[in-house]
Amino acid sequence: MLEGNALMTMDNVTKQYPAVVALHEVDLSFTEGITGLLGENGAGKSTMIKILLGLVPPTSGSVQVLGEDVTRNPLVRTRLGYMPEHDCLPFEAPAAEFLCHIAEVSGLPAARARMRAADTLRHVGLFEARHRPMGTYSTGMKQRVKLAQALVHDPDIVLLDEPAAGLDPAGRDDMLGLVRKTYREFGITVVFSSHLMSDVERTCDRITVLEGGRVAKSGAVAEYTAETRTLFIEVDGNRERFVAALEARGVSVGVGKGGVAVQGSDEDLADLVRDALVEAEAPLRRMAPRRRELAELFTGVDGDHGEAGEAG
Amino acid sequence: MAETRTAQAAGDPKAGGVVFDIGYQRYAGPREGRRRARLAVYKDGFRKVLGLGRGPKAKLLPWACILVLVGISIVMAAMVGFGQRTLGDVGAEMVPGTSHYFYYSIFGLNILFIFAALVAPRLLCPDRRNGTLHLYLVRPLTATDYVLARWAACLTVMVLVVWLPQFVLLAGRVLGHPEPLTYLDDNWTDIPKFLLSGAAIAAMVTAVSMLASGLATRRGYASVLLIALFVIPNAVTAPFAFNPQLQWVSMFSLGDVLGETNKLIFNGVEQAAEADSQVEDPFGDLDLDTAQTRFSPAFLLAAYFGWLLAPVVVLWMYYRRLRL
Repeated sequence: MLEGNALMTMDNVTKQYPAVVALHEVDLSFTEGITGLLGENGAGKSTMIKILLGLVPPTSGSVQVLGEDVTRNPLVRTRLGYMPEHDCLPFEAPAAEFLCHIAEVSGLPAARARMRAADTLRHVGLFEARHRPMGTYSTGMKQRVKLAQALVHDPDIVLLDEPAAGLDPAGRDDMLGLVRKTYREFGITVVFSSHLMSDVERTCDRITVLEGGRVAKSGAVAEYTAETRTLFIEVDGNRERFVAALEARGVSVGVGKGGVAVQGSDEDLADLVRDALVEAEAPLRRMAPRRRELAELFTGVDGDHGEAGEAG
Repeated sequence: MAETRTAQAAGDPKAGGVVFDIGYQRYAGPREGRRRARLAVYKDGFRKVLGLGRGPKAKLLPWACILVLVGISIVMAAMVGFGQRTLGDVGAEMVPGTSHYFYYSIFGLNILFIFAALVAPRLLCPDRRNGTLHLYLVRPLTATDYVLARWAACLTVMVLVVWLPQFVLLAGRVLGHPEPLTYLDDNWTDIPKFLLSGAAIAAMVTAVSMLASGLATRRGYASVLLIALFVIPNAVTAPFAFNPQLQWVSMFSLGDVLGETNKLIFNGVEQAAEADSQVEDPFGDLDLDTAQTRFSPAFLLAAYFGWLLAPVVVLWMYYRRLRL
């Protein structure tokens, strides 16, 4: 799975703890963009991130980050950012002071560190609250500071461990928006781990699925969410008559809560659907080929035969 | 480059107040690597110990200890000055327990222990407890860099806190003397002695208190552990102090090791005859300002460096093997 232009590569990496194999013969490369590491708890996501950061040495295999062995050359970490899943903020310190300190620890001179701290807090939406002690922040604000500390020294790659964990839906949307912004506007490559399919689907360009310490799947999100040969149709009324009209024309129909799914995508089928709509006097709201969902990677459901209610 | 105008300026472009959003700017300045990282951790440690940049609560205890330490030296200098002014050199000598040596033999050392127990845990415990240590170690900083920078910050503060009262005492003694230059000419050797003795005390107190702070997660636990470490061995070894065969037991007491090292640096080693007379009558003819150690310099230095190096090595090994 090694590719050209890879920013980070893992070559046959195994990590063995006394009681468990966290990663097993992993060959993987990370290229520019947003890559999602998806897997259940204990799948090896956090271990993989720690190995990429050089915090934990692999039991066997080799890891290259930006062309360097991170365990032997800690200076590579000046170009890496990391946002841990757990709490990591000193609650008594104001965010601006803490970020300035962290920027200096990343190697920036003091004056530049102060400027970067203020700029980064502005980009994550905490400029107004920057002089308040972090102990007074909400969970969402703390997550933003955690992201800011990973970005303050302007790394080339940032590794985010469950960045939306513990947030309410609105906070989750905001955080995932910031993650997308980190690559699309700031140009910083993102690797982020999550056990939530929807987060990865909404945010990432590429996905790596880990199962029991092995890479189960890896590739572009678009490959897994490609159009299927199922046509999904929503109508605003007379749905039963519409279904009957379709069946009368010999079309295989699946009915769900969200709409009606019919197999096929050619022009003849479209004509049959049009005629059925006219006959049933059913106002058309939407008609489009159905896309697969990442969840199907795990459930094994074939997109072409999925429930119509899940589509859309 | 996006440009927006403030509410005031929106109606009248000449009113000024234009806000430019220049978006995210990549950093193109210097990156100074591990040297800057170590310096940043050191500076942060120095500020944490003294509560600089924090509220009054963080400053209260360390600065109270420093004030007490300085206050003792001011009182000592005032006593000498008073004796000197009223009765001359004889009067000054009649005021016992006011020498640079004596400063750290009883009160000063105990207050320094309390100071160390209060401030040293600030350097290591919160970083591990809050998880901030992770953020340090994913930067161009090794665990060894981190712990050495914190150690150096603690040592710097300890040395300054140990030396400050001695300089105050020196200033008091010099200014209290009718002929300050004559006093300095006669007693200048006190200066390198108190600098050396102070550095030795600061180094060992730093080593022990940083080890306790490194092993405890909570600051309170580390403080209690340190106070116990300073007090209990001293109480346990005290009965052996006047038994020539068992005097070596007192080397298990941090306070005794520092006290004897202080004696060695200022006043040297006691002669055998004097030692025998003191064993026979330990409380007779006790000179507070010129007491000498009964241990050989080699034995004392071995005990001192054992107390100094063992905690340093254990702390270093602990952080090197720490897995996050």
